Amino acid sequence: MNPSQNPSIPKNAEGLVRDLKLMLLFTGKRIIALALMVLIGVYLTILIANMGGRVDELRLVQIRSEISEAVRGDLSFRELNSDERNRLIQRRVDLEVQRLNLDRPFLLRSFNYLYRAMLLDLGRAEQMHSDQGSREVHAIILERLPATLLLFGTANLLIFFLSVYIALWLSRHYGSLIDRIVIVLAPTSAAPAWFYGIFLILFFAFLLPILPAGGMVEAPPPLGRRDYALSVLKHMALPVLAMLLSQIFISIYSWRTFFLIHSSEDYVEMARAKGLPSRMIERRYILRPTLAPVITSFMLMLISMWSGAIILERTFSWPGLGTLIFQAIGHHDTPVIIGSVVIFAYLLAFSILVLDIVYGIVDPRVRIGAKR
Amino acid sequence: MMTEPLLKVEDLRLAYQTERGIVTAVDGLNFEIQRNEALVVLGESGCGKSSLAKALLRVLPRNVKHHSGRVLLDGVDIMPLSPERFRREIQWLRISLVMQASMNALNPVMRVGEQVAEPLCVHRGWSPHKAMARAGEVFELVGVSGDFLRRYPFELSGGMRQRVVLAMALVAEPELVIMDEPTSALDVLTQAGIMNRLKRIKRELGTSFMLITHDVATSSEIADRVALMYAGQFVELSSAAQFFAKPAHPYGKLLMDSVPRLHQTRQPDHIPGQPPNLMLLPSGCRFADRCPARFDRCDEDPMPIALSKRNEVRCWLYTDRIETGKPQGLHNTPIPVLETRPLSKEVLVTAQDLHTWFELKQWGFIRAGYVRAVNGVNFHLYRGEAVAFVGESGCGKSSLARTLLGLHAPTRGEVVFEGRHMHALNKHELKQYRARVGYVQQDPFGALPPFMTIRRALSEPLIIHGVKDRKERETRIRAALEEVRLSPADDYLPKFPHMLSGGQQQRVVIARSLILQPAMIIADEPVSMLDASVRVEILRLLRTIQSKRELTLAFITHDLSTVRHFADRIFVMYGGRIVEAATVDDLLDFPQHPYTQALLAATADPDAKNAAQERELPDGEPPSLLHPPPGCHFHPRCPYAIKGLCDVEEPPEFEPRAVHYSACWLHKDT
Repeated sequence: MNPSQNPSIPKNAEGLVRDLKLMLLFTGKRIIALALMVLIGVYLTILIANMGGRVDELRLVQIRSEISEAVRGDLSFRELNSDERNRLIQRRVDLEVQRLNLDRPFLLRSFNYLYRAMLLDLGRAEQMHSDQGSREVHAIILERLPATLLLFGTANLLIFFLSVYIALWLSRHYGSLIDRIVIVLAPTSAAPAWFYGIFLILFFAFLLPILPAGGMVEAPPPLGRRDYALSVLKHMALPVLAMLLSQIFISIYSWRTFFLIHSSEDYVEMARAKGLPSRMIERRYILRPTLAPVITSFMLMLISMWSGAIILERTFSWPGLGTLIFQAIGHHDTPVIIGSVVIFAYLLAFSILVLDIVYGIVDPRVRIGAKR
Repeated sequence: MMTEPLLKVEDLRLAYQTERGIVTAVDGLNFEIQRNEALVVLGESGCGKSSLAKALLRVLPRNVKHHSGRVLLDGVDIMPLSPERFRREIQWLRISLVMQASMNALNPVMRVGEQVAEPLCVHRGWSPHKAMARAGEVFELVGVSGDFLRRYPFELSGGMRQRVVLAMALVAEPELVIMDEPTSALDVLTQAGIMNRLKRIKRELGTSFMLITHDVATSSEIADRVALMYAGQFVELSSAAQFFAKPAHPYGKLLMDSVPRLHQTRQPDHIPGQPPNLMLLPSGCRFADRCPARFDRCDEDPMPIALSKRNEVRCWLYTDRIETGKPQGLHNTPIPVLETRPLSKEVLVTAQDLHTWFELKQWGFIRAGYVRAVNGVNFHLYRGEAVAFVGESGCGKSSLARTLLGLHAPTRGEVVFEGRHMHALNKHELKQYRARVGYVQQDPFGALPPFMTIRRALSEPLIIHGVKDRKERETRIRAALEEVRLSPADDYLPKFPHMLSGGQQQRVVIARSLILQPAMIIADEPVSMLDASVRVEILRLLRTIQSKRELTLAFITHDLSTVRHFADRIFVMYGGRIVEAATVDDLLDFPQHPYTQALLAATADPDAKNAAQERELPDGEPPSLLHPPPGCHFHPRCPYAIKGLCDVEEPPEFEPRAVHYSACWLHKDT
């Protein structure tokens, strides 16, 4: 079998170097694809939040009425006749319209918004402001972002590693009592995290008051670093538990089934015949080949989790992005809404990118397939 | 032979607990394997032969109920060893395993070199570097270049993967290698190449082999001794010379008669009946139900009877060691010879310059190239003849079938059926055309909708083609079932496909293809998914129906040995083209194209002499259909390739013998 006879297989390419190159290529392609995705998502948000330009007409009417009110109410313009007054109003309206760029077609401006949004220049809020008093949307969001990342990062990592570990253990003890309990509990994941949150608050904050009902830290924040962290941890316990409850059984159940199916693959049997220790078989022959699909299902879970974030944060009054959006909707604060959605889009794209890269690392078929 | 045997097995038993009962897969086996000896375990699927491999290597599923016996390796019983000691001392270091050829025997996400080297690191504590160097050595031994050590399994062809699996089994230089159907999923040439390697390895390393297979012809390539397995027991244990010349057990005799042979004019016969269910084993001789030589004593369990020093048979016919060695009452049943009709000269189908290419896309819209599955094919099929299209996997034969069926539109060229150009047909005419052509698929279970009863599956084509009268449908369905010999029809009509055996399912598929009274049937590998003993039965059925109804049968296969008795003409396909076309006898006896010659050389008839010699085979792999070599597609592998001609210009069809066409430059002057 001379490799030179098969043109699709390169000669003398060292495995690692080739893999590295392919991995870079793969990552590059994914970044481009995801950037496009974010672009489209954000643009759609801009269109929707502006009702496709309808909002501008409303604003035009609003500007005119505000200005004519102001001019009519101003004593210094009393002696102007109506003609002159109208001209004055018109001039001021024109100035305001020019300042806000409302004279240019919406389509053009929407691209302008998009350009600025992509650069995270999110404009100024109309009603809301940050805790430090800034009206920059960008500042408002940055203030809230770490809280959200902390909560969701912790919960998701916990869910992933716990479920993989327990699922592997269950696939080994298939048919045991615990296995059957997990199967029975799997449908409980149909309820969203905030649903469990309500009950958790009821039990652990009111009936058995050992954990705080909401917020991120005690009312006067503790001074010491350790105390502060401890307090945050205490406040995180319930929301993390709520997310865990709503996701873990279904993921354990589906992944355990997955591992079970894959542990009867021929290569696993082969590994047993080779006399490899069972830990090694589990790691190299069951977990590694199945990791890619497991990550896929985790990715899907993650996406649905992000979208559930708003209500969950609201339930626990967690001062994160979700709460922010909720408030912004209440205040009709379009720039903040758009800004948060942009950030969400970036977060989502970023998590997908990370998972894609992990995917490429764990599954050679993904990265080598990329060369075509 | 006074030396201690390498492996001595005494009363090995293995049973599984399933929901429906206890399955006795291995039922009291006794045998020996000497050093440098190859024992072939021959049996139909479901006879427990794979369980034997598992029982020896202790790769047991969870539901094992019973596992006992003595397994003496070099005189030491390895059965009482603890699992941990067995794993560390026996597995792979002394006994290793080659699994059935499939993508799945190798971990898809590990480099093949790592997988081969792994046992050395684990069992001998070698450094990865040293183990990899050794893996490189065994790669050379099995004929895979060391460049592939760092590749992943999916980058290798099927044949190469199987060589890697073989390398893996040899890496720790075990004394015994157990092989479970090592070549059955591979193409003829690849299969023969691997058997060649095995012979060489056996000779050079002195390894002992246990080869488990259902394929009589392949088994004769390496066998020193043959164990014939039936329903969990060995019914015969003989030397290869003895077995392939004159098997003692009636089952062995019938099995030998059922093997289609290239160089024999006698028609192969099938074994009636089915092997017993391992859950409900009959008392007495387990083969008695299917045995033509059955007599009173067969109700008792037969003892193994020694015929000579190392040959034994489990059959009451040998109670008093009849001198001739031939069991009483067993004789060749006369086989009805199918009358061969003179070929009609009425052309039914014509393919003209037929091309079926599939476009490959990059990024979803940029054209990356074409897979040239059918690449310029011309032929006539006459009314009432059976034609075989023979070729290795990936030669385009299935795409050709699908193009003839109208499932793929040809990229260029055309199909003319009963004088009408297929591309000119409108929707309604195309529907009529499809009623004139029946299709028998490869996998009968996949071809029948699992949620439809047989009655519904058969009435559907009638409904689609406008047979509105329920009574008429019923009579036609019954007639079709009768024709494929599924009777009484009432037993089958209300059943679902999974309730039938593979052979019965395939009969239903054939019935479905016949029900609209087609003029032609296209059968795409109709028997390759079926058990060896059923294959001949189905092929004969197809042949009978074909000649009775004067149908045109286009029969697609990779197995040359089956075509002699079931086709009138053969087309040999290679790389999307027909390279040779002739009548069966002429092609098999006087092959003209070098590729056909190679295929024939690689196809074995069972014979103990096979083990002694290696076969002449062309190097290399079948051509890529995406980037076929220029000129004659076979020239990179052809020993007679003419430089400057074969690698430049595509050969036209020559006629070196009367009505025998070959697309090869060697026949230019004819």
